[in-house]
Formats: sequence, C-alpha cells, structure tokens
Amino acid sequence: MSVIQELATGLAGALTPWNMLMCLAGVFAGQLVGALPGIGPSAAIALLLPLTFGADPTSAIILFAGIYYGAQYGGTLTSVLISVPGEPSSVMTSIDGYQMALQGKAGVALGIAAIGSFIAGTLSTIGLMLLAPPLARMALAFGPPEYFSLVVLGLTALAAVGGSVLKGLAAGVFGLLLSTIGIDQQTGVARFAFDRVWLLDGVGFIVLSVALFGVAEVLSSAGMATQRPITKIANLLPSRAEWKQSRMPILRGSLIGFVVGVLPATGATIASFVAYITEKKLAKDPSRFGKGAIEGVAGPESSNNAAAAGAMVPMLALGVPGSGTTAIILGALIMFGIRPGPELFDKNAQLVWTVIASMYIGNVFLLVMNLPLAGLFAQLLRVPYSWLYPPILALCVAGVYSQANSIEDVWMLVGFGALGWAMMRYEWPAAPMILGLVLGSIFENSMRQSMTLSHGSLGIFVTRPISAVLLACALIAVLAPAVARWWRARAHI
Amino acid sequence: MLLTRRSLLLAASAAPVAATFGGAHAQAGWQPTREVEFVVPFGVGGGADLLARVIHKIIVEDKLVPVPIALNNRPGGGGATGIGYVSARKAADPHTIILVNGTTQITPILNPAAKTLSEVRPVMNVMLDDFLLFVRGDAPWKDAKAFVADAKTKPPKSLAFATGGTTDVMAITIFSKATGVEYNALNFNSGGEALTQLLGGHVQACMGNPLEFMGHLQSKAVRALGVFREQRFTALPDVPTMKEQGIQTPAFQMWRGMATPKGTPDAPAKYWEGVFAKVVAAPAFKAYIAENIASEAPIPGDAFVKFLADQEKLYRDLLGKPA
Repeated sequence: MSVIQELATGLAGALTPWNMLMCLAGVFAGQLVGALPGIGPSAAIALLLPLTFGADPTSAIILFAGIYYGAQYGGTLTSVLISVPGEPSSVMTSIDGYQMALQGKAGVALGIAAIGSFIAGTLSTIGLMLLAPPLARMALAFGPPEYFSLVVLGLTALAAVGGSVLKGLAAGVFGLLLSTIGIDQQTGVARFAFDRVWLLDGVGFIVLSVALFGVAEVLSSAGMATQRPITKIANLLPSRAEWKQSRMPILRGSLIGFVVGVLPATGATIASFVAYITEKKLAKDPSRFGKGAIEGVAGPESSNNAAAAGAMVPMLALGVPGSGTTAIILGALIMFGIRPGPELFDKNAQLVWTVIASMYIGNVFLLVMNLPLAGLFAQLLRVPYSWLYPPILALCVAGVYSQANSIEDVWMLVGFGALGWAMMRYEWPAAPMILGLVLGSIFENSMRQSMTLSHGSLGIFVTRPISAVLLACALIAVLAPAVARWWRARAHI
Repeated sequence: MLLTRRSLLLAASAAPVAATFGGAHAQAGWQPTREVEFVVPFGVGGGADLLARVIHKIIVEDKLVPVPIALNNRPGGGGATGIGYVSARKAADPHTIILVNGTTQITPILNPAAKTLSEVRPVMNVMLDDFLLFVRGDAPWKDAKAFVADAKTKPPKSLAFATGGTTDVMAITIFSKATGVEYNALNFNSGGEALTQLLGGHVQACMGNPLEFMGHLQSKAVRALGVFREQRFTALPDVPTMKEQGIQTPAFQMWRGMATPKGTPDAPAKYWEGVFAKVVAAPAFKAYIAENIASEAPIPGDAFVKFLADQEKLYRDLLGKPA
C-alpha cells in the first residue's frame, strides 16, 4: 500500500513537463553515447555535471539515470549493425545480433532488443521499488571470496561461448593474461609494462573489443566487400514465431540481470555473459548460437538493461556505488548537498521515488524511440559494403582515441585488429578473450584479497556459504555436459 | 585598461590572503595571449577531474584570464600519461596549466619509469584532503585508543582494513608504525568499494576521506575513531585527532595543486600564482571545500616546492622506497 502511495507521489513529481523533458533528454543522450564506442554513460554524466549545478537535484538525477539506462539501449545499435560493441555489456549481443544483421534481420534484432530492454527495464524497476532494502543487504554479503567464486562461475562460460571448447579456453586464458598488464592494484607496482607509460593502465576493454569485433570484421570482409550482395531487409519487426522464441529469454534475462546488477562492481557485463550462456545451455539446438539465434540477442539485451536498474539498488538503498556510472551519480548527489547513505529512502523519499517513477517513463520513451528507429537504422545496411567499411573503421579509430586522447591506444587497436583478423580467419572465438580481459582483474584481485583476509588459507572459498554455493554451481556447469554424455552413452549400452 | 582593472580586482580579492602570498601580484608583467590548455592527467568524472572542473568554471565565470581556457583530460598511468604529454608537447609553454595531486607524486616512487612532478613547475597547492579511521556503527571500539588496545591483544594482522588506493594504504602504514600493531590491508578500486566491504562486515576498518563516508557517518552506519590532523575538523567536532588519543602520528593529508610545464619562466609562473590565489578565494571554491569536508590550503610558489619535497620524503619513507 505504502509503496503505491509513494510511487503515486513519485509519478506526480516525474510527470511535470520539466522533469519529463529532462527524462527525454537523458534517454536520448544515453542512446547516443551508448552507440558511440569510447564515450560511455559515465563520461557523458561527468561532462553534463557542471551544467546542472544550481538546477533542481531531482531533475538532474532523472537526467543522469536516463543517460545510464538509455546507454544500454544505444549500445545495441552498433553491436548489431556493424559489430562494434559500444559498451562491455553489449559484447554478447554483437555475436548473434551481427549474424542476424547479415541475414537481413537487423530490424528484427534491434526490435527484439528494444522490446526486451523495455520489459526488462520495467520489471527491474518494479524489483527496485519492492525489493531494494533486502536486496541491498544481499549485495553487502558479497565480500572478496564471494566475488572470486562468482567470477569463477562466469569464467566457466569461456568454453561455452565459441564453437571449439579448446579454442575458447585458450582465447579466454589469453584474455586473462592481457588483464595482468599494468599497475597491480594490490601493490601499486607495474607489471609487463616494459617501462612504457602508456601500458601502465593495461589494455583497455574498448581497445580490445573494438579491435576484435569491429576492425577484424572489416578486415576479414574487405576482400569480398565489392562482391558481397547487399543484404535484403526481410522484415523490420519480430514475427509471431520470433516473439514466441524470445519471450522466455527476455524474462530469464531480466531476472539474471537484475540480481547480478545489484552486486556492486560486477553489473551489466557479467549479467549479459551469464544470460547468454544460460540461453545457450537451455536451447534445444545450441549450435544455432553464434549464427544468428534470436535468443542470443534477447537474453543478454534484457539482462544488461535489468542490470542498470539493479545497480541503482545499492546506490539508493545503501549509498554505495553499484557501478562506475552510479559512482558518478552518487558524486552528483553530494554536489547537490544530498548525502547518499542508508537513509536516502527515508530522508529524500520524494527524490528517490520521483527518480524511480521517471525510470518507468524513460523506458516508455526508449521503446517509442527505438521501435520505429529499428527499421530506420536497419536501412543502413542497404548501403554497399565498400562504402560502409571506411566510415566504420573511422568510427573505430575515433572511438578508441576519444576515450583517453591516446595515440598509443590507436596503435594497439591496429595490432589487436590484425590479431582479430587472424583469429577470424582461423576460426578462433573473440568473445572469450574479451571476457578474460574484463573478468581478469576482479578474478585476480578478489582472490588475493581473500587470501590476505584468510592469512593464506584457501579454505575461505568453501567455508563461506555463498562462495561455496557459487563454486558448486561452477563445478556443475563444467561437469554437467560430461555427466550427461556419460549417462547417454550408458543408456545406449 | 584591461590590465589595470585586472590588477585592481586582483589586489582586492587577494587582500585577505595577502600575508600568505607576499606580493604574488607584484609582477603582472606577463599575461596569456592565446588559448590556454588546462591539462587534467586523470579521467573524466573522478575526484581530481571534478576539482579541475570547479577551478575551470571559476576561472571562466569570474573572467580571471583574458583568453579562452580549454580542459584536456589525458588520463592514465597514475598521472604519468598526462604529464608525459605535457613534457613532450608543451615544454616550458606558459599557456599550459596542469592539475597535480598526491597520486602524481606517488606514481614515480612506485614506478620509476613514470615521470611526473619532475616534469612540471609547481605553482600553488589549493587544498588538502584528510584521512579518518572508520569502523562500522555497531563495532565495539568507541575510539582509536580502544581499537589499538584490542588489536594488541590479538595475533598480528587480525584486524583487516579495506582501502580505496595507495594513499589509504600509506595512512594505514602511519597508523601501524605509530601504534606498533600490524594490520591486514585489502586494496580496492575506490573508496566506495572499500566502504561497501566495511558495511558488509568483511573487514573491520577503513581509512578514507570524509566525503565518501559522510552520509553513513550521519546515519551512524559507520563511526569515525580519529583523524590524522593537528586540530579537529570544524565540520566534525566530535571526531578526535590521533594525537589527542596519544597516538603519535605525523599530520597526514593528501594535497592537490596546480602547476605549469617545467621551464616556465618566472613572470608567467607568478601570473598563474595570482590567478590561482583568486580561485582559492572565490565563494564557489569555498563551497566546494565545504561540501568535500576538505581543507583550503593555498601554498604558493617556493613554499609549495618545499612542501612537496617534505611530502616526497614522507611518502618514500611510508612506501619503503628511499630515494
């Protein structure tokens, strides 16, 4: 009852013309930065921050939250159309989404992503509204050993992403190795930097993903760009059958995304990986994945949107950041003289509920904006490939350069782009390498933090219940296929 | 005309701090003639970047310089990338100003290949950030003395700290040296993550800046046991200093200041010193300091260079890396 009353007050606040405008501006800006590799929602919010000084804090937070979840929609666009994931959380989308685009189903992929995102965004906002305090307590239960075990579970996905288990594992381990380059968080000392200042921060996610997906795709297709037929655009919106196929992945993705998103520091990226693997494991015919399976778009896309709302849970209920972007929104709250903390829900109820209400409105805006746009953007693929490739390469270079104004990053892009071409040529999967790079530092640091905590004993990973359960899940994920094979073989005898 | 008005304004606004600056405005012989580049060697959105944006906003809105001024974020390598860019492209260029902080000073101590403060001319420190010892609100210790007494009854490294970076680790080292107790330190990416670990009960304490902990301090979710400061905060009068509690630690605060490229002549350096003095005196800056529970600390020119030399000695000592 009281939740409904609170939400009604919130809606009244969110539906004022000015706040609606801020919400629209936020989701539009979010959509835009999400589509551009290099500039992400955190940078966009930081750049807009000085402009909002002196404005009403509620409107500003509505704007920032809009940028945050709007970016999750925007990231889909480039992943599907040109195989350049703009955000870590859209890497999984580009695997099957781009294949769908090549088959002339870009509109369907974008459409299902928009619908899935809308459903996930709305469901997880309801979750945020009803479950924020208990969920926030759950997030606090995650210490270093729990993060370690969660990442172990995520890493079991390495083998499942590509076609060949061995190649998937090898690429994943290479990604893990790449993540050790740069300043070590536990000691502050540089590793594998070879006295190069530009290697102190290691290999950036954006550099690797744009190189392995974007540049490699352009290079490997360049040879046949002139002969390659222009994709026929079959239909723009998902058919009844496609919708039926995507329904459950959307719901599962929403749940996974929301729960994983709540955990500070992991968020949307792990959520999208887990959702993809779940869909692949549950599919009747897993071999369709990687070749344009619509579930491979619906699951991760729903899950990364749900994660964005999930990440707001620790921020609003506890005053701790759930992701890099929410950390900046927290900073903004402080700038406005609002102290984020466990009492935000009570002391600033009007602000919190207005922002939550605006998230419902923002998701509607995004759906209305994206469904017609899906068809429009899909038309981009009518452009002959020989014309399309040079601007894509330019976008890759500009995106990578713009994130840190660093020319060395561009050279790394060239190097990894060449590697990506070779990997594509010899059918090595790129996603596990990116997964390894993204998860590597949490993997290593949470392990070393746990070992510090336990004074060097490995027991800490199994004596803490949440950690033990996560490790057991990882073990099942690895063993289940083998056991199933053995079972089937025995049944045949 | 412009020049006269500027010096007048300068004299007026610098008056309250004139004693500290000892005629910083006397040599207004140089002024920028083309666009000034404001290099921030840190990423968009971090604490250092926000300070840079506040300084930039004050310079632009109060028209402290007669030319446009553009921010340029060059993040990476703990400040080394941005300063490397300055020394490669902007050597001795008085039309470049750079934000520097404690992190830029720590980077080359840990990674000698990275060059930072040796490549700039420090012009003025603007503020200091404090470190507090925090525990959970329901923890048994009411002050730092009780915390240390309890730690002494346990085996070494029984109490664990979560930290948000090297500066927090140094605060733990100071505390550990002063109390003769070894603590466990778990390093995280940010103060926010460290706070989450403290709230979750995975560690027993945190060393951190007031800003990130303020909301939780007010709601009593965390308790501050002491601060590495000479006097108590005016904003937090209930938090005792370490010295008051008989814990003999040096005052430990993290500095943030402004610099120009190495080899900048004296006249432009003095000019910028005057500009930054006005920034520090601006109401918008004072509001920023109050929001961050930080300390305003204008230390100009040569005094800043000496301050930095002392800090360097302290940092090297704490990190176990003598020069």
